[in-house]
Amino acid sequence: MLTLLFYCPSSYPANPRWQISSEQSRLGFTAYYDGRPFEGEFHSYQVEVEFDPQYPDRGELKCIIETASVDTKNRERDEALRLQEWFNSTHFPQATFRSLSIRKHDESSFNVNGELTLKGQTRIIDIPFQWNPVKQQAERVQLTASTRIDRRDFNIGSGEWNDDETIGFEVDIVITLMLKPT
Amino acid sequence: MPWRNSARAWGTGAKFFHWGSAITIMLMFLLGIIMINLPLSPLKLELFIWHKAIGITLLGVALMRLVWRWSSSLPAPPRDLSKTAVRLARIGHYWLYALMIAMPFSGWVINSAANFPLNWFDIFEVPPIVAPNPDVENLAKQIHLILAIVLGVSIAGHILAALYHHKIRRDDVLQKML
Repeated sequence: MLTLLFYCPSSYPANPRWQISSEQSRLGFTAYYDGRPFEGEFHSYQVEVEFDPQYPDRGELKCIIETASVDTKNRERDEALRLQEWFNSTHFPQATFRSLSIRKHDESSFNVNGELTLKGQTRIIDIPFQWNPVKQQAERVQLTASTRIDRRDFNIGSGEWNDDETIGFEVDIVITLMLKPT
Repeated sequence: MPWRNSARAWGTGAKFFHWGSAITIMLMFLLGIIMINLPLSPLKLELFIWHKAIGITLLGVALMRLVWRWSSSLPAPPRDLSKTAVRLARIGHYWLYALMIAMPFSGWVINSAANFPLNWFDIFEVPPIVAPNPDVENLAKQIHLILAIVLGVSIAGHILAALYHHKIRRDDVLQKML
């Protein structure tokens, strides 16, 4: 009986793995210029999602982002963002997120706590997310998440840019991932 | 001094708009030349922010001046001025209005195509008029530059014409605006 109890955890069904459909997914952000929002996104990123909404605590989320793939629909601005004062993409080509724990809020709302590493700086952040099965497409799930970070925590916009007169400190991360089981 | 125009002189309203625009447009040339030659820095962006907000103001002012012009009488031209000269002056003035509208308008297109927000002095956000597009941005930039040169030359012509009236013809055309 005791043995059975001990073995129980491993008798759970395996954590479902998901893969993203890139065309319908977006890893975006909203930044503030002169107090007004403008949008950008990263085109190149990989996501690993192992998640079962029934057992959120056993889920794992990982993300690797190529910082040089930043696109704010303005070539000059994108080039500037890759420079040393901003992402410093030559020295820090990748940003990463790794979940530490996932908790359930309600039927479709969850919260992932994890480590975000950007420009060599690691901070633990919370990202609330929604997990919604797509109605017309069987097995497909849409994960939407958003959170606000402070770019100073990651030394993004250093030197003379460490000022919010023109470019705000707050950046909203806005993620939509279209997932299907692997 | 009456606010509205009379047959003898421009009213205070027209004078205020005219000289206000004159000074502001000069300031905009200066701001534009300085800001595009600065290396990327918060100061450069700050100057762009000012240039854009003032530009939108000038667009509004140019439109208001047209309304003001159409809703009031104009001072009569000197009696001895030929019909051709009066017609040329009229065309010249409308040409300046067209440039004063096209100039900020092309800047607004650049800003929209470049996907920058346009904040009017922290009071309201001016919506974009075109979708982000690098080709449109580059085209609008070239148009904005050409218009700047054309406007500069046209203003020089306007000043020379005023001086011609004052110094050579010795009529009261310039004085009506003072």
